[in-house]
Amino acid sequence: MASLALNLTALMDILSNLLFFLLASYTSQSVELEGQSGLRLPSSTSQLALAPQITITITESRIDVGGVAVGTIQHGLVVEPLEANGNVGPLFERLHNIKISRESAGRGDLADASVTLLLADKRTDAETITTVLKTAGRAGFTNMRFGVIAK
Amino acid sequence: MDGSADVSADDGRKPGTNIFGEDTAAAVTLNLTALMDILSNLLFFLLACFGTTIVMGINATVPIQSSYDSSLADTRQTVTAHVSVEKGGLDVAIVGSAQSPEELDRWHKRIPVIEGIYDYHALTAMLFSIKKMYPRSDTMILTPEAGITYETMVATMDAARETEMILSGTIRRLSLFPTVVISTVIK
Repeated sequence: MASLALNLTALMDILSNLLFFLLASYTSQSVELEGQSGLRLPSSTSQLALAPQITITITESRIDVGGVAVGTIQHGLVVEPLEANGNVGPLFERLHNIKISRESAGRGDLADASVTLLLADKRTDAETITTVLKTAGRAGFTNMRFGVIAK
Repeated sequence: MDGSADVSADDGRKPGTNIFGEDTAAAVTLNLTALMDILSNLLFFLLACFGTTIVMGINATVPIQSSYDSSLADTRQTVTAHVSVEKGGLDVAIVGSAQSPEELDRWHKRIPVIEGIYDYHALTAMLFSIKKMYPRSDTMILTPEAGITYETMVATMDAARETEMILSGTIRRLSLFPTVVISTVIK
């Protein structure tokens, strides 16, 4: 039986184009959203791209900063008693330490030095959001970027 | 036919030679199976990643109490929109230091929740009217009531950020109040 040689040139062209396109898209996604239980971001029409920053995550059950737990959430609200000035104590300490270490490293004047990224579950109570914002602001992070899913 | 058997009839060349009379290179068939396997695997992996969520951002700030001059809108063409998100609806007002209290009060409006749904179209229309009257405005103070979800906050910011309008037959996006200040005072 005679061997049949398929001409794969066109298919290779298509595959190569797709590959380069997908590789470019993959590298342009600078913020990777790790799958976390109890975290469903709200969707938004915003077109603002994100850059890697200190990330505060509010899930259904906890608050963490860069993966380190700093608070507990129940029914959308912070469980731990707040400090007299309304701060979430461990959250403030963690952010304050980060701020101090940045300043001592000479990175306190950078453009994004006061920016944090907030990834919050869409069912989180607004009171929790404002409490976290207030605490972050007192720690020196007055600018916040809300992470949302592109519509 | 006057030529020999190994000379072609049209140009006098021998079969299997080029125009210079040299032997043509033997056809090479590359085995692309392994390369195809690699490309296909990479392609499926990247397609799977591409289908995951794309995270975008919304900028917001918190106000800081300071002894410097107030950052409140202070020109005739500038006001600061104040949107309170309450369980019963959206409360819209404007503040500015160059307008009279009567002028500012005229813009105070409440957009009620209808059948449990916030009327974001009405909010956008209201903010568009404010923007037309005070075109240099771009700041909105957002005050969410306790019990409001984060999703509602984001939807309100979306409604206030921009609107689409048809200009000369083309749809254009008009920026309304993209600068959001979440109402909490830092002491």
